[in-house]
Amino acid sequence: MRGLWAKAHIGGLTVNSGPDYTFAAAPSTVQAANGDQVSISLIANAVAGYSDTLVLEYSGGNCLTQGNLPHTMAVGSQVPLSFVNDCQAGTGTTLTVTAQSGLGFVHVASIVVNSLAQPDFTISVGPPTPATLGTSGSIVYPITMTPLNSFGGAVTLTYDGLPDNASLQFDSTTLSSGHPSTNLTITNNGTTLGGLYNFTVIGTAGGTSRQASFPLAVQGPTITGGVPSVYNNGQTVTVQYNVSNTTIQPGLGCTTADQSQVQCSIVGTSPVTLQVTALSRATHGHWKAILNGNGVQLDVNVDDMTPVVTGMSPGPEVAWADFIPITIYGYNFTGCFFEVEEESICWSSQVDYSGPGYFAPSGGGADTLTGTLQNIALSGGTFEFWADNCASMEDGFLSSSQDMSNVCESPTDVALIVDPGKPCAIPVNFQQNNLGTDIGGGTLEVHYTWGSSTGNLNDLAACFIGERVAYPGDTNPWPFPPPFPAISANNPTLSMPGDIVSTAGNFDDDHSTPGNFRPPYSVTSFNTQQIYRFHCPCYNNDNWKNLAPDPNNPDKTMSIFRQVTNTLYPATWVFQICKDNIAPASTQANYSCALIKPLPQQ
Amino acid sequence: MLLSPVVRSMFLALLSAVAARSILAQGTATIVMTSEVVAAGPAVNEPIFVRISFYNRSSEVVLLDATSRSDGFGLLAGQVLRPDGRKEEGPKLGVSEHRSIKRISVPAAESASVLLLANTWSDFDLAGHYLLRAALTKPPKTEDGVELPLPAALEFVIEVGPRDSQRLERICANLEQETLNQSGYASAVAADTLAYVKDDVAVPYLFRLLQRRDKLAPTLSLGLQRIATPRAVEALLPFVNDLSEDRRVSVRSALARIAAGTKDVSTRQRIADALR
Repeated sequence: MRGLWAKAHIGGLTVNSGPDYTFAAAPSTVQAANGDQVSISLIANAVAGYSDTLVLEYSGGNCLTQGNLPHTMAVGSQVPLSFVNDCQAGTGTTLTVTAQSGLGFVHVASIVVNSLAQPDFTISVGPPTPATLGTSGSIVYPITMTPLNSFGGAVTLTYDGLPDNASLQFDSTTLSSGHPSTNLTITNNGTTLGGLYNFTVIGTAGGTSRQASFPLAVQGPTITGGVPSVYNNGQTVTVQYNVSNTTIQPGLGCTTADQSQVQCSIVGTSPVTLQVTALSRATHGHWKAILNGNGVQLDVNVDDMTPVVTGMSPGPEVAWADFIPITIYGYNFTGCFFEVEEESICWSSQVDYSGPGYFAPSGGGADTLTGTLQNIALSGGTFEFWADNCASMEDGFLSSSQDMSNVCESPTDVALIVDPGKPCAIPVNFQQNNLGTDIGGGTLEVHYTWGSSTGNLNDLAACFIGERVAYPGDTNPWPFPPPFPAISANNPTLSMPGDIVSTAGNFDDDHSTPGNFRPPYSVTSFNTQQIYRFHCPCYNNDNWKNLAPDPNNPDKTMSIFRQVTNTLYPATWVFQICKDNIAPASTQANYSCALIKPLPQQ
Repeated sequence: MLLSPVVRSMFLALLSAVAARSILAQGTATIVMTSEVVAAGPAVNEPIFVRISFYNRSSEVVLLDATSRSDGFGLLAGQVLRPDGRKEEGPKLGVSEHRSIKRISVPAAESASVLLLANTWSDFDLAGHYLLRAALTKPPKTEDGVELPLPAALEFVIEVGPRDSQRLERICANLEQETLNQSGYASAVAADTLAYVKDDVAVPYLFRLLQRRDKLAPTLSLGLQRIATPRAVEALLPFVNDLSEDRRVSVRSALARIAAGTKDVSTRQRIADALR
């Protein structure tokens, strides 16, 4: 039935002669600041029951951005439209929206955007009263906030550039269009150094900050001269300062913020002469020496003493050894940490470190460091040495401070490559392989085995495996009183070299009591303490190292217990020898014994 | 006492290899033992090595239990009849109780051998004939563990010539170098061999090694203890308070035993003063 209505176009006006629609934007004119987002509604109302879908087209609006523009809408509906005003303040644009229905009915709506400037404000500072901040007085500055572009927010005041030993107060720290002014009072606490300071008042509202800087003239002591760098090497430096407008009281001395790092004392007053000492590894940076009595602070710069490593001996390659004596050469070593890095493991000579190798310093001075590289992994490795004069480990991995001339790490390292070469073979997995066996005659036999760290027992040919047995008493404890045999023994007894063939991988240890027991028998006993141990030329500097009972605890021993007792029924004298087992208690008995029962008749 | 190939070759180089034939004791046992003195014309106080060979005349492998203590107890035992008529047992009881586990495998129709330092059984401090008798301490076994009859004891003679101090010096010097240049077991065997040179000539060699090899101190001190002359005592005294426990303990024990065994009052007193 739509085709029954015709449309006539007269002078640009469209006169509906039947059902149609109206089309409009609301609002059709907006005032928006540059950067503001604008939201509009498009409204299409039916006339005479018209129902249709409209296709929307846009033109103009060249300085509008980020548009969210619908492309269709139904007659009888309202849809949102939005965009961001990116037009310069004081300009504007028109966005034209053309709607066309399925029957070809066209209507147009225009949106006029007038772009305004953002609300803003300024901060200004008026002339102070008085014009100069006196030695112990105050100075007052009027502060004014001026709103711009209909600014209606609150401005919070802060500041920057307040001289040391001065204080300030705002009468009000918040300004607004209704309360746009306040006073700033700066007070000299008496020790502010004289001079012209640059002071800034900062106003902040939302994300907007505006500030005003102005000169602050202060009457007070003036200091010139001095301020050389004092190296943090523990040495004392004399620094002279010319100090005027204050009184230096001799003998009162001076102090620093942290006397554990930087110390000073006055040795002269005209000019003021300080003796400043930055202790080893003092934190670099600007320090203050405070003249006691009047509070004047003098700048003291503490700089890192750059250590320089120039070489080492031996190197650059050395054959594997468990102990490698090392000397590192260079200068400025006083107070340094020396650090060693092997792969990703870092440590310092001053840090208690347990790992696959460590450096044990033994001496040195300003230009040398001596020590020993120890417990190196059998696979060898590359060890880098550098000197570090930083106050902490973390500093040691950074470059120098931004404002100081020196770095606290030695600029170059020295490296020692430890070549494993032929692997150092040592006995490993020393184990007891049976419960002790009573093999008769009061002899307890225990079987032990071990392997080689290289997997080949023949590689142990240069090693000795031995035992050490300590008897009670100081020297030569045997012969004991009857009934034990009169057999003398060393104390401690040390196995003969080669007694235990290291390449064999096993041996029996027979524990007996050689000789004849001596009547008359009596109840008595004694204990001996035993360890098994080894030494290899390629390991531990060829010193003894424990194998059992606990390789990691040199003080732990096995006990060999000899005892003469008697049984009552029947009355029989008995000798018993027992020994701790080194296998885990969960798998074997803790103790094995052998007997002579009965002992020979008395 | 088994001898390393290194020490063995040293002796072979030092002395020409002329074997003294054993007095054979064959019998009908599976294993036949023979002996050979590994040096011609040994002289008084020199180390004397005897190679003891075991020939397997069966058609299967035979095992010998060579597990032995450091004092030699294990594979072999026997006696020595000295020129002065005195009989000694070998080996001698030592203080060590360790036993190294070892089996000697003798293939069918083949031989195996060990070296015996005869000085561990007896001093050879007189020139003349020494009759040695050696026997296996345990029966041989098949690989299945079947015990075989013990072979008859082996008897043989060692002819010892008069003392030759120059040759003793050379032997000691070579053993000193062997001890220093070798390591581990080979070094210990050389030191042990030197420690059985029971002659004043050996004192400076033992002293120098004692200075330089503290881990060998038990063996070297025992060598000086065996010599037990005033010169040997003087060589021990510097170490009575040594920082090395190996040296200190071994030396003090050796001195204490010398003091206990000597009749010389001044030596006893000197040792007592030093050990105080």
